[in-house]
Amino acid sequence: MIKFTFRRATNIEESLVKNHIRVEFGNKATQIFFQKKLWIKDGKIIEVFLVHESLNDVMEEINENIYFAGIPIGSLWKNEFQLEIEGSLLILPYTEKIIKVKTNQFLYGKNIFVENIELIKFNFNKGDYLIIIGKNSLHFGIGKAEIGSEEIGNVPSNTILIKGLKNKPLDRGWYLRKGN
Amino acid sequence: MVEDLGDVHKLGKELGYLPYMIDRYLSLLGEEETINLLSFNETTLAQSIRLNSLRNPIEKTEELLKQKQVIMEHVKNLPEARKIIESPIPIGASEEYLNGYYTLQGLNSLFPSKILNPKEGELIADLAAAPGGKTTHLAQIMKNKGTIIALEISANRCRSLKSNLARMGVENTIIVNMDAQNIVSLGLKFDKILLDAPCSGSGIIVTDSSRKSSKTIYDLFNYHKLQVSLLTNAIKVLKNQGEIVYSTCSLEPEENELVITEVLKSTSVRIEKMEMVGDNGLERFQTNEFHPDLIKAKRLYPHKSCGEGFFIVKMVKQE
Repeated sequence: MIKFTFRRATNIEESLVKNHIRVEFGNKATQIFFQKKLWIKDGKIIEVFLVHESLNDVMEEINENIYFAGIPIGSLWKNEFQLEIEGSLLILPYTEKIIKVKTNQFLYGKNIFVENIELIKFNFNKGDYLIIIGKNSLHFGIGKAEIGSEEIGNVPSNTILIKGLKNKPLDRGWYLRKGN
Repeated sequence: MVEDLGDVHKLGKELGYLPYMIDRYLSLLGEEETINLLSFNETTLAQSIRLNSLRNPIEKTEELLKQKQVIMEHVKNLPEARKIIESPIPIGASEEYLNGYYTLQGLNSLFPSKILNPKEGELIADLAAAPGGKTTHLAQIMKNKGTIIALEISANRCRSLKSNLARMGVENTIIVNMDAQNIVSLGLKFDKILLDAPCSGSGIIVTDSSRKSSKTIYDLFNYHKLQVSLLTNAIKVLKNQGEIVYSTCSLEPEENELVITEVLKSTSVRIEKMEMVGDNGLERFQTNEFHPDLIKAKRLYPHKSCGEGFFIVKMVKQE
């Protein structure tokens, strides 16, 4: 049986994660850490989990192969934190950095174009992370802006706003593509 | 019209069953019901879903699906379940599905978690947990409070478990990649345990026709040994007065009543009565006599319950 290491995040890992969220989404977004601890699953990709404090005692007691616990919120790669599907859903109530789209191609790992935007809640810069929602405010995922919000009116409608990344867990379609 | 038992065997052969299966269906059910079972297994089961209140209030999800012209039916005694009558959208790939507002789940497979009835704050074990239909249901009943330890022997299946738990918004679960036969090594004592045991799956032929011929009678004995071991070890880590639900999606007495009869000889548990539909557990089969309390167990036959076949029994530990 493969041995997994599921352990408490180090102070450095914890500050990488928390700083990323604070810088990208504001102080309010750090409320997602209330009564939660960060845990890490080591591997080729370092996965980050948010675990309710009430599970900690049991987890400390278990000396077997914990595969994971709590909510997977993102991953660490070369000292950078990447917020992923469930992490972005947790932050959704605490941020304005949201775009609403008219179509659902992002759920297939495809690009979002300027013409697909229905609503922008907040001005953003190129390189900012944005949480994407669709009809009925259903959560779609998270992506990085390829252009700033002030450029939107001045570029062709087929300009890419957010690149779809099929092989990363950034959109909820991931659960169908890779989930099983 | 089938005229004698030879004709039932002929029908079974035509439909692709191994002969031993038809023999035992005839012993279990008689001729007419065996034909009903074989006929039912050739039908397409209506899709059913479990609405997930961890993600969205049930009535709101129902409204969203109605907006998409999905026609659903309520299910008696299962307020979180809906039978899909008609759907213009792929029900297993909608935005609501991807958001975990509901999951596809056979109606009868909701009973084991309902019967276990875990409470907020309890410590629960779910053995052989992947792909997580019952684990996520337990978490829903517990309102994400308390702790579920979900054990899964296969690392690959742990991946699908992770995906389903994340999608459904489950927060109170610890997944441990281990053989549940070694549960004692965790050093924990549980309030309640769900053992939906690995089995031959003869109750789910309606959804997986390969089961008509993929398991020989020798496989049943191997499953029996594994099931006895899993259940015996699970009972060891149950608190006094703790409750355990044992279920399979098999119709075979060797995987059900015979397992319980054997385990009752060496452990201190008693069988509890359950308030649910279904036929009573068997008192005997062929040359085997079972524990008399097994009439309190339930058998859900596919053709009678219009769903997947299940065996369910609830036991309480008394040291």
